[in-house]
Amino acid sequence: MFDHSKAPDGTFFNFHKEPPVRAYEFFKLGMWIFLATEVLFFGGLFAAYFIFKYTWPEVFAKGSAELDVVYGGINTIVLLGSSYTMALAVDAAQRKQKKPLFWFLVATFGGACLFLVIKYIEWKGKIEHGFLPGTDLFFGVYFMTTGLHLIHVLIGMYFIGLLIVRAKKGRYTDEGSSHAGVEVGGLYWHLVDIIWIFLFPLLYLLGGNH
Amino acid sequence: MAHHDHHEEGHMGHIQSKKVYHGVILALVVLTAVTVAAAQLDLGALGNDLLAVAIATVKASLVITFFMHGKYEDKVTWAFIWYPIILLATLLAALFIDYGNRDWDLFKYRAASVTEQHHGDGHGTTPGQVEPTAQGTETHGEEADHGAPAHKGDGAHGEEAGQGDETKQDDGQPADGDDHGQNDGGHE
Amino acid sequence: MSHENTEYRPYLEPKGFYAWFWTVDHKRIGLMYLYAILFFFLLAGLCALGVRAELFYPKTQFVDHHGYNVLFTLHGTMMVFLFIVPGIPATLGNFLLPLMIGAKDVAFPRLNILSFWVYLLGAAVVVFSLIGPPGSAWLDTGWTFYTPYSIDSSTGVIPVTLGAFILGFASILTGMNFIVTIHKMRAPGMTWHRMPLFVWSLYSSSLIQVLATPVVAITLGLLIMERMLGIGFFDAGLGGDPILFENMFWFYSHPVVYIMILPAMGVVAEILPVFAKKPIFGYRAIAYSSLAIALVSFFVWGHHLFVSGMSEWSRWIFSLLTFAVAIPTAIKVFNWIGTLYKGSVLLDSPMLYACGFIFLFTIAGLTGLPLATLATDVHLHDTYFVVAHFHYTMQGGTVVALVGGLHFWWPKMYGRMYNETIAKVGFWTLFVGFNATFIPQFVMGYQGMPRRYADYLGEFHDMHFLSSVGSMVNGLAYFLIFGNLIWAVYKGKRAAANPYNSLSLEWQTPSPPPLTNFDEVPTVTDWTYGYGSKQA
Repeated sequence: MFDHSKAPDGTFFNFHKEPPVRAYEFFKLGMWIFLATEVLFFGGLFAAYFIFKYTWPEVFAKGSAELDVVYGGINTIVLLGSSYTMALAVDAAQRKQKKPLFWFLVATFGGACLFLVIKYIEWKGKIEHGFLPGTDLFFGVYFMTTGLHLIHVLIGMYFIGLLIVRAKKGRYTDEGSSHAGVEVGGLYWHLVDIIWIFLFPLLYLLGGNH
Repeated sequence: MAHHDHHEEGHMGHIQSKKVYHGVILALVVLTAVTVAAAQLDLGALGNDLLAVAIATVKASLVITFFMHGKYEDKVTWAFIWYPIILLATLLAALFIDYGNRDWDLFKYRAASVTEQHHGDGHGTTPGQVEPTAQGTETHGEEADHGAPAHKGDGAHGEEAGQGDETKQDDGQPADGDDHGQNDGGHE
Repeated sequence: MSHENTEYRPYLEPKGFYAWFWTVDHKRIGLMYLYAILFFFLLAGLCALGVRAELFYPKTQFVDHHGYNVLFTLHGTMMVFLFIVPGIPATLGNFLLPLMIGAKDVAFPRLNILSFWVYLLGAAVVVFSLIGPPGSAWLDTGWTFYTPYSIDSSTGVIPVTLGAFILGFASILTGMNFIVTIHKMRAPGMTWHRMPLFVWSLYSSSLIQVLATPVVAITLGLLIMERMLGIGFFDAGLGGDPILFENMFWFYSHPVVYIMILPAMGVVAEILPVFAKKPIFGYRAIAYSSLAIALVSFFVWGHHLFVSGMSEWSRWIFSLLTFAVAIPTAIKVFNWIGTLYKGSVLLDSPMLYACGFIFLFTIAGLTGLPLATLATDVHLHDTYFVVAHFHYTMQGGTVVALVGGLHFWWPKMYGRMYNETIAKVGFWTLFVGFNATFIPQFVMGYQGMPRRYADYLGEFHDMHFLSSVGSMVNGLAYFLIFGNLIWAVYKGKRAAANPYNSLSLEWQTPSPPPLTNFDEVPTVTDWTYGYGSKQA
């Protein structure tokens, strides 16, 4: 369409960029700040959760008992595992190891897919049994929190996908390249994991014995 | 602070031994099992919640410190890790102080009286009020009585919290969408 | 160095739609934001004049009660979300921040233009949904979207709140950009304590932008879900709580007013020393008070809920903390006055605005105190007293500072000077009109006139009439002011690089500055306010 190499100076595709080491520091701090906004975003929802839980404890205990701890537990392990592979991917990128980077990213993506599948099974089951967001406050909170989390998993998957494509081309491991993208993407993915770490006990384990 | 900006670190980020990652994932899986086990204890609702959150916090700290390289990050980054925690703690604390100290019995009493009384007796509410519910009910509108003693637990007027929006006030004005709804003495 | 060259046109190269739409130059982005927010200021201002026109006489004349609710909803929503929240940071902040710290641009130039595109998208969504598809009822919930009416209302609540959600992203992106820029891109020798105070204020405001906005985002998101899925978070009939909405909404919306005012205070701190030819008094006090205000601003939101049915404990804690936030604010006022004391004051138009700000904002701050006091707030809540208070802070404060800042930096931004006489006339028209509009509202407020009412009792007629006349003068002033500024871009006298002999870095560049601001990165050896101690 438009030949971006002819773009005027100072526009999106033709501007003075910072040298890689400085850009790396900028992107990291920028991502940490963004993660802070995400924590506050979910935090509002957690606040609502706590208020309603203490107002209607029986509703929450009963609702929580309807959730399948096994699925929730597996999903927790799956996300932890994908966080692990992501950390190893960043490590590989730092060491400029192209193949391990690629496969660890693929493993991370795979873990995310597995998470999606299990979540789909769970949601389908709930909806088929007549448990909808409007059913009661517990399920309202359940669907809102897991739904919002799911959206973030999808966003994370999009970025991991981008990383995979670029990693394959050597963007992060070639001579003189910067691994910043992998690290910054990794930070985001770890946050997705951390949110689930909190969601799992608060949603699934209220009923006590399973 | 200025010196930080302009000397290029020779490397980009610290490379830690892979063993750290292996150790952390193991710890995380173990802690997940601990979480499930801890849920079987009966420490009361608050106790169980605190325990669950505490264990989750430990797990999150491991992820932040080692997976996210928090160990090597500077104070500015750590500030942005702490800010949301402090703010959420504030929000929760404020909400709990509010909800925990509301006079729920009084609200139930008023809820009951709404259904029986009409507007105009000085303590009822305008018609079309929301029906009373059990706990969790919100405030009710009240005629503001200038000079009337403050009712316990609510400071002076209750307010129709956004209710009464489609209803007319007694002077023929439709209430607006704001949680306004008070008629002061001047509107008689 | 100034010459009469009226052939000069700024920003000629690169030109064309692509060069502006795809720009990553912070200066152009700042200007585009300026045009956008001024456009919405005009629209929202016309709504305000509509509101005041209706209130000349009791009973309804031009609109019915629903129509009146629509007018103040349009006014509030557009003013808050489309004008004043982006406000000074997105316009003057974007233009000046890199220049003031000696950088070539912000940390994330592409994120910067992205934030502008997101702003445009959010603005489009908000405006088109305020009025909705043809035949639908226009939004009338008030800009605060209180539940349960916002759940039940058949107007376009979902798209408007979605638009506000989108706009929140623009605010967050700008905040992120500024924080990283200030931490990482200061010129050599520019320590934190040598930064201009405007930069301190942008930093404090950016902290609030990134930390508070997500909470309103989730609040509005939950409102949307509640309308779509019938969940019941905020619906008492379903076990929820409308006051939870208020708590979460004001958790953001109180800090947001400090986003509005902190950069305005920063502008004043820049203008005063230049026009008093004196260093700013109490630099560190002003700098740290900006941070203190940002911090405490997060702990006072409950003062919007005093009469909602909150518990007594909550009420007095919030009241106490609200008084606390007045302290750093007062510290600033004393320091500004200290700057003027024994200064060699030149009362050109930017200085008029800065001094006007001090006067008007002091009134604003003082009238906040009876609202922070529980006993009096019971009487004043939801009356015109509140309306007057926040217009003194927002218009008497932020808008006055914005306009003053635009006058001050106009020669830097466009390389041309406005007409000083008209600028002064514009200021005084604004000052008279603004006070005439809102002082009667203080009076009406404590006499009990409720806000958001289309009709009113006869006893309030005189004050309403006076206020409405004042509002017309208030509106007229802006046409004078902006007419003058716009005229200057095309026909104004060519300005020098540093017409006021300011020591600040942005004035050490040509007017307007070139693409990368500085030919070589400057090295800073002293703070920005060394007036009187060296040859300025």
